[in-house]
Amino acid sequence: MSSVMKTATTRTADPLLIDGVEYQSRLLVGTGKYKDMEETRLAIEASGAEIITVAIRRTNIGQKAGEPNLLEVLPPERYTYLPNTAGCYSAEDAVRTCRLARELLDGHNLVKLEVLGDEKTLFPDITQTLSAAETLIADGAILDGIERYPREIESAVYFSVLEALQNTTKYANAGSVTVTLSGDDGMLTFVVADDGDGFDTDTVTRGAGLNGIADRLDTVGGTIHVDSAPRAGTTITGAIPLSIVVEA
Amino acid sequence: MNLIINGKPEQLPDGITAAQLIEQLGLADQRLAMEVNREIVPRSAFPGYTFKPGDQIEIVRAIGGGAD
Repeated sequence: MSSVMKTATTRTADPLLIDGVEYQSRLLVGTGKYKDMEETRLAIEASGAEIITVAIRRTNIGQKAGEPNLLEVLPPERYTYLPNTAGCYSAEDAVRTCRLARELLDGHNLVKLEVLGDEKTLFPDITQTLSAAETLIADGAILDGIERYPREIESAVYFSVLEALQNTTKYANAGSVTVTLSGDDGMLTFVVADDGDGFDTDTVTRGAGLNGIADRLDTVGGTIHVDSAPRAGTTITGAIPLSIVVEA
Repeated sequence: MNLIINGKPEQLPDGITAAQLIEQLGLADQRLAMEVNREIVPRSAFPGYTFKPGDQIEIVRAIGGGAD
């Protein structure tokens, strides 16, 4: 894959921002399959990646007591760990793995979540994956500055963003997409903005995706706004009022 | 007392604490996380946490992986 060959060691003008942390590299790499810890360390260093995935596994008891620890070789102060749930075939197992990882990594909340559905193809079980995500999000606020909201509002936002991202991958031909969530002035607002092809909002009829978002937001009193033009990207904004205003 | 540690039955003294178990297994200096009967036991609680016979203990660590 050509994108995997890219190294980003210099400061970029377009950093990746996740939960208040800026990343210069968009490369996410795994840490398995190397000969030894030293090779792992050198390979990760050479890749320029700042985000790495790790597996959470049973400690080998009574074996290899002096074996170097991954957390010492790749310090979590330097790398953002994404503990992954590979090998989990149910939402319950994935949630258990993520909670163990959170304890192991001192409260670190980011994970690479996936519940497998098929043992042969490793194709994920989307329903179980969503259910695991719901449980983990309910465990605690994951994003700074965002509170917990009623379940129907959180779910409307979640599925709207998912739908918007699916639209981006299907049609936009975009190089990047940014998701922003903000809650102030009595409104919960999400923005999904891409730098893709865009379209003429006057002549192109809304597809099932955008209509789906509009319907979903409508059930919680929210609205959708689509801002797009050919070659100018697409920005989808959803806004949901957080309290009912009684008219005087 | 019989405990199940990472799927294997083990005989350990009655009243053993989580901290003592970790010590006995030679894991005292390692970064790890523990689950007993599917509930997390925070590391800070290890010294005062006493096992009951038949407890199912899982001890995990982070290892290389995750690309697939």
